[in-house]
Amino acid sequence: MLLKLLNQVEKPKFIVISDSLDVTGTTLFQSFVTTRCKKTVVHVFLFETHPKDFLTSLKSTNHENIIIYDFYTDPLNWDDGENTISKSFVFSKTIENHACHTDQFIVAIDGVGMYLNNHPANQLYQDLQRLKQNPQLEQCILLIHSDEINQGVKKSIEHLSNAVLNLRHPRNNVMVCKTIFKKPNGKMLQFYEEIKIASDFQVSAMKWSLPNHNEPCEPIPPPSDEPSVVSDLSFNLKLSNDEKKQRGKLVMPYTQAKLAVKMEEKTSGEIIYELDDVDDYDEEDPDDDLDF
Amino acid sequence: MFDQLNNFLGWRTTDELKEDFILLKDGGPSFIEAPFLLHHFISFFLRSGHKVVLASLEQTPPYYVVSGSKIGCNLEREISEGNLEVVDLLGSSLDEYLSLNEDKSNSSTLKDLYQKLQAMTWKVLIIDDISLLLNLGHNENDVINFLHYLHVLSRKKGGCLITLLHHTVDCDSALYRKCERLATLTIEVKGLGTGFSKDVHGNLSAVKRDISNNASVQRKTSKQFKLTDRTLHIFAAGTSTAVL
Repeated sequence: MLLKLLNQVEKPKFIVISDSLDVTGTTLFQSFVTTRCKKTVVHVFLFETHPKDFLTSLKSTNHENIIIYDFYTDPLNWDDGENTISKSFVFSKTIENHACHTDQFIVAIDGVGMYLNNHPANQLYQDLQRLKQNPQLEQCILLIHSDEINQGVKKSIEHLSNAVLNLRHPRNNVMVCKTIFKKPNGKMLQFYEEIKIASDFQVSAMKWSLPNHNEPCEPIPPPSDEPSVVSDLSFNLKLSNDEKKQRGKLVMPYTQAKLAVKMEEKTSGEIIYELDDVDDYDEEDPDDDLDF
Repeated sequence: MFDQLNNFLGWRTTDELKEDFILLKDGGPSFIEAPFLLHHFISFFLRSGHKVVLASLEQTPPYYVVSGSKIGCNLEREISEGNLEVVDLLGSSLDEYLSLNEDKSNSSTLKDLYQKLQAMTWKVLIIDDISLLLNLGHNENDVINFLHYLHVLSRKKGGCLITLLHHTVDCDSALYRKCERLATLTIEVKGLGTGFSKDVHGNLSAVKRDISNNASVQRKTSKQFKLTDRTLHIFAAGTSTAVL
């Protein structure tokens, strides 16, 4: 599903990418910008990255279709900057005021933390709603940090969106994207995909299944950069491979006793009598003639 | 300067330092706190020949001079030579930064402070402790804006911003979350869960954020430590000399 969104097979109007401290959505955000700017003008609002760093990270991508609005360097006009988050700041108006305004455009916003720090959440919601209703807007891609904004605000933004990409980090070096796609007919689809993003922003995705609770969990290997407890000691606590094999072959004394107890338990309650030579074994029941 | 701390962080010189925002925090309980890390960084950067500006809110300048002398750093000489500049915000807070002039808003005083720091020449800016600005009456949003501007400034100068957050700051607060998001290196000092110990003073953990690796942004290393008057001993958990 993620690849369909990236390649515009599916074209939701409002896409939200949600990341956290453990897993960053910046690269996925840049992947979207890279694919979109090949065909359409993309207006990029930068609140968390310097424009120079952003363009440098896009490397060989054609920058002609990318229009950057720098709200990172001086958002509050402390240094007499050009772009500021004033009280009258509106995304749509900022685009309209730009000289290079085209018929159809795409908007990408790299974070809303600074916006929410200086404006109320309902103003952001109204601003995004207004932007979404703009007939010239082809698509809006918004990156939010779930650790930075309130859960209520996050839910409001997700409610406004047509597709939500939640990035998770269940294990080391594994990034999972939970995609919630809202179809125009009202149906909601949910997908889990393990994704990998190459250095040229090519994304590969494969289906990721949720862990089965009946199956035994895989032991998580310890991080390789954590030093071993036994590494700094003056005496040797490690085992060689031969010593490990010999330890595996060793049978514990209590194990034999336990097996013997089990054998006894199986034979309890059964009497085995071997007849002597002088025994006269009669199979008839001696009490058969009794009449009670 | 604590050499073992540099080894723990994987640095020998400041050339290996790629972090532009270092967050120091103590996770409680209150008998172990993080300021000793500040003294280490002041000493480390001065010895490496970098200019340091220290904006002190929690302590007065003589405190840092005395603490620096214990770990072999003569801060008085560094101040006289111009390598270290101390902005005594604690001393001047009553007159200047509490803003006795009613027409002047608190955010404009932070703007003035930012412009003052911007005009200075430095490679490393240390703020001890940024959460105290909240206690001085500044709005949390204004403090976050101030932090953002300092971060932008430190990146512009190619330097490093270091700040301290005590365990008294609510970890759900917007300032705490902003600091965690901006920090490329977080060093946390935490006391032992079992209580005070004479030989093991607490746990020291370092979390590095590497945004280039999407799936494993945070790498954590953790050890235990014992802090004496002049040295810091760092060892793997459970391998204190008192135990072995």
